[in-house]
Amino acid sequence: MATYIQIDPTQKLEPFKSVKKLPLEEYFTSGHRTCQGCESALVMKMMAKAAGPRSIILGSTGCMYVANTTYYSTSWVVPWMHTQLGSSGSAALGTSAALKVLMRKGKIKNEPINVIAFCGDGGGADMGVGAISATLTHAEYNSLILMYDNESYANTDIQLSGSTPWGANTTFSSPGKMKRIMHRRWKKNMAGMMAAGHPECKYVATICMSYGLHGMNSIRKALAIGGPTFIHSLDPCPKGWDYDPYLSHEMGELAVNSGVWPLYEVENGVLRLTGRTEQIAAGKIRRVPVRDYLLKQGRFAHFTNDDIDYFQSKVDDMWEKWLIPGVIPFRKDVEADPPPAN
Amino acid sequence: MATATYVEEQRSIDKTALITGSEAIAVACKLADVDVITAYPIRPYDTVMQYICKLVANGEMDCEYIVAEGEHSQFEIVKHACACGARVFCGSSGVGWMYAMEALTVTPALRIPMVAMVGNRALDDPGAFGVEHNDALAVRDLGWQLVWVDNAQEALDTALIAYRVSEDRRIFLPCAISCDGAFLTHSQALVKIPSQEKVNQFLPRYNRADLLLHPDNPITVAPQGNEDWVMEIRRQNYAAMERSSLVLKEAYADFDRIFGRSYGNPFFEEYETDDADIVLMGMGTLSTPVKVAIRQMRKEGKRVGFVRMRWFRPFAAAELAKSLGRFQAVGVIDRDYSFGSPYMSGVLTTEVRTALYSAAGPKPPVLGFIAGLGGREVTVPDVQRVADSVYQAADGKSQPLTQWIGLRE
Amino acid sequence: MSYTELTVWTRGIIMDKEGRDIVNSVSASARREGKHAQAMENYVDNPDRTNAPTRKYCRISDEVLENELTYENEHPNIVVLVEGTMVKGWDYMRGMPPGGTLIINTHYSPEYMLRFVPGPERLAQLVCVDAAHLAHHKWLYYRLGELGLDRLSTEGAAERSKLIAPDIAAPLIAAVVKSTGIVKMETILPMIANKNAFEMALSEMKIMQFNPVAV
Ligand SMILES: Cc1ncc(C[n+]2csc(CCOP(=O)(O)OP(=O)(O)O)c2C)c(N)n1
Ligand code: SF4
Ligand SMILES: [Mg+2]
Repeated sequence: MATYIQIDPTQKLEPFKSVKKLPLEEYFTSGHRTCQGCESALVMKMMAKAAGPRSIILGSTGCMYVANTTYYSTSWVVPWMHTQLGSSGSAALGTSAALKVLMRKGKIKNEPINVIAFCGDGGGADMGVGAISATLTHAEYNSLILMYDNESYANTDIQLSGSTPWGANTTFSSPGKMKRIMHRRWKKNMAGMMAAGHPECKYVATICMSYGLHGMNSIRKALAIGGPTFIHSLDPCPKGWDYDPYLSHEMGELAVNSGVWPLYEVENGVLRLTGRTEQIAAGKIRRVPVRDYLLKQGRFAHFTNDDIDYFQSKVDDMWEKWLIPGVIPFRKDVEADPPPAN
Repeated sequence: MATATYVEEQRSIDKTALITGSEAIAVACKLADVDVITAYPIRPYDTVMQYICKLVANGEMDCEYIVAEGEHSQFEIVKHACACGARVFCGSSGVGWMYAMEALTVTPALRIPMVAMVGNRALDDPGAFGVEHNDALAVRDLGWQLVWVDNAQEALDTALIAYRVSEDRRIFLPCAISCDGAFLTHSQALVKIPSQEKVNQFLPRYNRADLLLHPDNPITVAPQGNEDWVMEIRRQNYAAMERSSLVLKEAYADFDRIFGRSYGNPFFEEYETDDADIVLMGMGTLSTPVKVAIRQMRKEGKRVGFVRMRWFRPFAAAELAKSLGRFQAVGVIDRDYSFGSPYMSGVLTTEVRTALYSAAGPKPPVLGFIAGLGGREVTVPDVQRVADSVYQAADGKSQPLTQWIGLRE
Repeated sequence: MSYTELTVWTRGIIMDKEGRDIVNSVSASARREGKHAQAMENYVDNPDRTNAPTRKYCRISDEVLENELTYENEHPNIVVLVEGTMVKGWDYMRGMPPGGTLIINTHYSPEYMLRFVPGPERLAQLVCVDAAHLAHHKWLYYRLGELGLDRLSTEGAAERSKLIAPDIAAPLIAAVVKSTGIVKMETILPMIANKNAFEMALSEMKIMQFNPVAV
């Protein structure tokens, strides 16, 4: 059969074996002024480390732009360029297209260069979802779009986005005397949507940098596999989620262990649950109640028991009633097709 | 002298073709060896992308031809490609251009030498296909170089000049070439297509130099600034736009030398102005009915001339004021509107008045006329009515400062 | 004519409201006393980020303020550090004219803290007040983050608490007012929520006096 899609060679990025074997070089260094305990900043650092020096990184407006690149004190060692809030998809596509054609025409040296465009949940799951979706259909352009999800428009002082969990207190959904729950939308299933909707996209994954090695190896896989890829990272944000910065790591673990944040990857169309999520699905460990996760965060401090129960029931649905638990929200017909008893 | 130019011109010609304004620009893109092109459908500009698609499919052109999912992405994709050293082309019309507005804003600010085609089209609502200039004019303050052409040959030539000027390291600003919807984008004319060899001689390769985004040049582009540095950055854009007039003149002179085709004054074209009492002004294909009307009026002994603004940004204020000072009155026909502007005039009228106000020489009265909106034809009698009013003003008789022409009774 | 600038250095989110409370209450008191006063935040330090430094300003004058639209206080007469470790790492003394006052929230003595102050010759007094202790936040010495009292209130638009100075701002305001006399005790006290901490600070604060010289 003829080959219709020309994918240029990518860098060979073997998985890191252990934290101790990570390279020492940093490509995202000092100069930023993110929050103490900012997990998104950690994602930037790990992402740059995973990608290495022959990379171009594009970043859409948000905390990771405004707090990271003050004029004259950039934290980026690799080439970096700002892109507009909803443009991470276009930035990845344009940069990758330029490299491809310039190399083909011999206008620049022919070598694999990583292209990463990152965006926040506001820039990605809300404003930029169209452009990201389009880029994931352009199978011949190598790039990674990484959505760092701190579950709010954080840079503008914590406003709710389509990726903010139900009921959370943000500056656009602060509870009042008459209305306790001002945010009544359920969080978008962004990674699932990207995986299900873009059959040509070879790699989609969810990560959480509380599991750093796993996150970095996902990024390396996404860059090495070829074509456009998408990673959705859940990043605890001490300012927006309202908890003590020293709890950031634990908050990420709780999100995974409570089942709120399933870890999985879809590689060449094959779905694999990863990390702790795999163990939960296999019944090796039990899900922690979401109460433990929610009540550690000030943004849910106004929740009543009913609210917590509702939240728990929605998470239970995700695990018990979804066609593919945690990934695809179509209902399987539970009554007619009970899960095998074992 | 004349023969020498003729011979020179012949040598540079590959062929003469009957093509539309859109196709002429597509051919210019091919000759310029553009690297990345993004398309999105909207009439009337999108014909250019249809032609380019054919060129790519036929192997006549090697570029990344990307169909975007909206104009915002369309312009953002080429913006980023250009930052990595690719020569790019893009375009839009009417509300499509407005949909891309955020990208259009940052493009000059990032010093991206993008060349775009605007197939001028009325803005919604109501939806309308016809020409109006408000789309391209919406970016007039942002650092875009803006040019209006009135025939297919000029469209092709101007596209080559646009790449040459925009990609000059002294400039690095985008350029939008406006072609009137339907009248230019969709009508054919005989166009001389220059040889590749001459084009290569005229147009050097795009060199992003110190601003290249590449691992060998690991810069941070557009870090967050505030009151500390943003003003200096704006000032650099100001200086670039200021230099643009000079670089444009150089480019037109070289164009003449290499292709043997001269456009005279690059900024505006004068028609029958040598002995004129009054002149009319306008942009784009308006020139056709105006020139016909002038020929007729001249038969009746009315000495009317015409000044067609080619470059709207940079605006050659001093030169224009000097030229207009020769006449007794000026009538500016706007194919646009600017509701609430001084004297409720159109955009071009206001700019012409501004240019004259600070000029040293004589200042003839300037009347504004709004005509041809939504693609309505500007007829020869319309132009004659405009000229009559301008003559009245020249005689010192009071005339309204803004008049709508060709409106239904 | 008398003109005074007060600059408060604080840490984003965790003590942002405290910093805002200090400048707001001082400027409100000055206005009540018939002076011209203004309180504002450093616009580009906002939106603030957890523990990143942010600045708050207050200007008081007998006459109409002519520099209302200046972003920063260029010559602060009084500088307050809402969190003690801020004494290192920033030149918060920049522009201070001789005879200034520096107030630090710390349990250390002025003699000890002096060694960290850049350009201390300009000081007329260095004041240390153990505000966290006085406001009964004893554990705060160990966990800065536990100060997270009002994270979502950044930029002041949606403050959870309408109270002014319910905790560590109160002793610091007391130190400002007592050591500099910038406003009268009677005007400011009614605004303060934590009167107990305010009054204790009046007696417990440690002041070190100097003979200031111009640099
Ligand atoms: C078109 C546009 N609209 C609004 C803004 C204002 N804005 C700047 S950053 C930001 C928040 C982005 O949120 P997100 O993408 O989630 O990133 P985060 O700040 O959370 O890191 C917003 C709304 C903008 N820069 N551009
Ligand atoms: S607000 Fe959240 S995302 Fe932004 S810097 Fe702070 S922790 Fe990081
Ligand atoms: Mg966000």
